[in-house]
Amino acid sequence: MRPAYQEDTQPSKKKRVEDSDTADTPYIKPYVPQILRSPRDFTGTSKITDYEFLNKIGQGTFGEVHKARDKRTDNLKALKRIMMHNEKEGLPLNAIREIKILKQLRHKNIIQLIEIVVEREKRDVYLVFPYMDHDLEGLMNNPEVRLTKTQTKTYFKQLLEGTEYLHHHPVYVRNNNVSSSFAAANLLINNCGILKIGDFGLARTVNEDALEYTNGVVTRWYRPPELFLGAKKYTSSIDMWGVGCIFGELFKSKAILPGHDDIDQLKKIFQLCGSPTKFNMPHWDSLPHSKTIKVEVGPRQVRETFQRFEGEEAIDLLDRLLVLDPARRLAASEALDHDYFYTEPLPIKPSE
Amino acid sequence: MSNGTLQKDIPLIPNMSAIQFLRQTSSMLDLPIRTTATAIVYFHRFNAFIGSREKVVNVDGSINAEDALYNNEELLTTTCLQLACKATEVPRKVRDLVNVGYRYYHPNGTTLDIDESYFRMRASLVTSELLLVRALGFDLEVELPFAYCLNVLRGLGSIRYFITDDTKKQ
Repeated sequence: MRPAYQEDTQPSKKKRVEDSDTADTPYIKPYVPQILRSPRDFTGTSKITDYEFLNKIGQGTFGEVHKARDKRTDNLKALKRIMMHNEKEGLPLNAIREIKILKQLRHKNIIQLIEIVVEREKRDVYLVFPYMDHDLEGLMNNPEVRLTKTQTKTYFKQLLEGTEYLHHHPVYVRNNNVSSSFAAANLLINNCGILKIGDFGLARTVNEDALEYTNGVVTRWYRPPELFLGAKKYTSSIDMWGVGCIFGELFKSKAILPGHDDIDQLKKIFQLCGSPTKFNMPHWDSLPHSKTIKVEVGPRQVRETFQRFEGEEAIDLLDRLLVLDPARRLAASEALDHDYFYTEPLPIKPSE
Repeated sequence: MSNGTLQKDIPLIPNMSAIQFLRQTSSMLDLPIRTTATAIVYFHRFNAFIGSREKVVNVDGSINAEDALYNNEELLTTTCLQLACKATEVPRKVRDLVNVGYRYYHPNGTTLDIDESYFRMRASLVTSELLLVRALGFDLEVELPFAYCLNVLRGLGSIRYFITDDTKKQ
């Protein structure tokens, strides 16, 4: 007697063959694991003629950004052109890096990649993002716009939520670090009040054996002290320093640490946060560049500097973010638990 | 094949010559296994894409670019390798890739001169790279089986039958 399982397999095999004859669908579908499958509706590629170019809105890290109208839906989109400047080598490495990262991230506070458009004749590749009306830097520089305390709180909460998502995402964890470029100009805000972290053009995935960051990882003003001292270990606390700088910037309406070169930047950091000692930054003297940099001894004055801007909770949160020791800097999830977000005025829904 | 008819059923045993090429050239280029595996996955996905696509038969007998790439295995495999190098962050020069690919397919030939044919190869590599990323739907991060293999091996290691070391069997 034939075992039962053979009776099962025989007819189904036949059926499958028939299927593949009649339908155009393949017998074996390309296997894409669930966690890597892009969860959003990534419509893939469409024609460049579907978009009507309006005007150039900016120069990204490796390409121009154009405002464009989607002719099919009439929505505004931002198209980021990938410059094929080094055309001999094909697609640039950092473009591939950005696409790879963006395709896997899906969060309401992180810019989403809608699709990728390829123009065949000129061989241009465009990344299509939703059009965002403002960026944070522009908003703060605009004298007509005054951010209320509630708005500040709401925006900062969104920034932290995006950062928290990023730090817990498998892309981030698996590759050790995807350090996005935290800077006020990279935080985009639309007219509905939603803040999105944009521009992963400088993001790097780092492997254990190839821990070589170029020094342009984070825009200088938002770079933590350990990077200037030549630290080679990169953790999510690098991003948290940048988040802290942006938080201070939200109060002051201008960059809090505008150094004009690396040495000056470090000097400004130590002026604000006090000079590094064994207590506030353990092992700092074992970092490679610590011997070459002369440090002026000074006290920590984060609280004093920001006294006049905001309430006690806000200053306390800032004080815990701008910490010299990366191990003691608050993580994004810890910062979200801070009293600041649970005291009056409470953060509102972004749409309000 | 030339007039755009496509191979519909995907063979159970994959195209071994292409896989062999990818493995050999990877060792010549000193690439990590991660990159080789990614390139092989790209290769399979491209073939699956060709198999799943709607057939387009042009009236004038010309074939479209994807089919042209599908028919040119040397170009396709080299492109897969180049893209995998970039996606796994082990940059290799196009020049090296072209040279190694050429050497593999012409083992007894002379070394490749920097002439017009070299530049043509290089240009077609860049063009086909764009075709490949689109066919892959820009899904460049692939999940590799090694992590699962490790788990399976660990599981096997816990079964006494599979332990070859006699001293540990007791």
